[in-house]
Amino acid sequence: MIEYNIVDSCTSTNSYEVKFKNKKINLKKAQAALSKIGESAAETPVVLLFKIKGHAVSVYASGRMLIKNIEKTDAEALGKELVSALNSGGAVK
Amino acid sequence: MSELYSEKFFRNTGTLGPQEQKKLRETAFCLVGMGGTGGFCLENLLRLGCENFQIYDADRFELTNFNRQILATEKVVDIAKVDVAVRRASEVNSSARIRKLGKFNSGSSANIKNCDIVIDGTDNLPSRVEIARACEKYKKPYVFCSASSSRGIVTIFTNYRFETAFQLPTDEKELQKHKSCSSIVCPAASLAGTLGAAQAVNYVLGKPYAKAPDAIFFDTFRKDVFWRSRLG
Repeated sequence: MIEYNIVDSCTSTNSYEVKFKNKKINLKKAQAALSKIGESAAETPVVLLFKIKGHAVSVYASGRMLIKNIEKTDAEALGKELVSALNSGGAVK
Repeated sequence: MSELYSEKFFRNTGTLGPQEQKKLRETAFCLVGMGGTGGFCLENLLRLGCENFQIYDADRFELTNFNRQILATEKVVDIAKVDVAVRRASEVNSSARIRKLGKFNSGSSANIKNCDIVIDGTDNLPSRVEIARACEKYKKPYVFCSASSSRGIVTIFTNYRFETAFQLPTDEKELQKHKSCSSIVCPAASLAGTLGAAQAVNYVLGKPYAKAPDAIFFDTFRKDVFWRSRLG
């Protein structure tokens, strides 16, 4: 089981950070995995930007994702879905 | 003073006397937060010839930092802020000695015993309270530099209580409710960091400084940018 936690982020109000414990994200695999559940907005070697279920999601190789403009309970549900998609796509290393 | 150091900081001469420059070079600064205000604060202190730092930050750079944080560049996205700060410092002054640390918490607060002054560039109240309490415990001056939206506040706490100044709740749970973030633009972050560094230098050099509960207030988007007022 992949361990992660969701914390309120300080980037802006109503933003949450999904953080893996001691795991990183393979961005190439993440790009493919998250494209199945959302729309890619930008792709760089160090960060991916997605629009998933109406929320902006930033994915960083260090093992964290930021979800913007979302309530806590929705962030927890979306975070679970993101983790599941990344895990299924073999993007968590 | 080495030739290289003298040449680099030659243009400080006149505004700063030789003894003052020496004092700044030797002073141990503790900077908590390497984001918007902390990054500009570090930049100012480096350019003033300060060489002895202890820096704290547990975060990595992300895209949402770019609107205001001087250390945030495309090359350093997702890299630890303290690592970027050390690199930046060595590019300005390779003689600078920096001890990099992660999150400032009760366990690490004893480290500030080795500092002469503590500058708080964090962006949330619970962290600020933790830092202010550590400063109170170890009798270190606490430089408060805060920015939000286009505005900011800068002052130095020596013997006036931080919690009193901001009328904060004593209950930890209540305090956590104050952990919120707001919009902030670069002029406010940079000015808060710059003023924080300047006031810290005033304190170190024995010059008049903004002493809490008195504080410097500013709004970078107003015609009359600065005013003085009293906290608490």
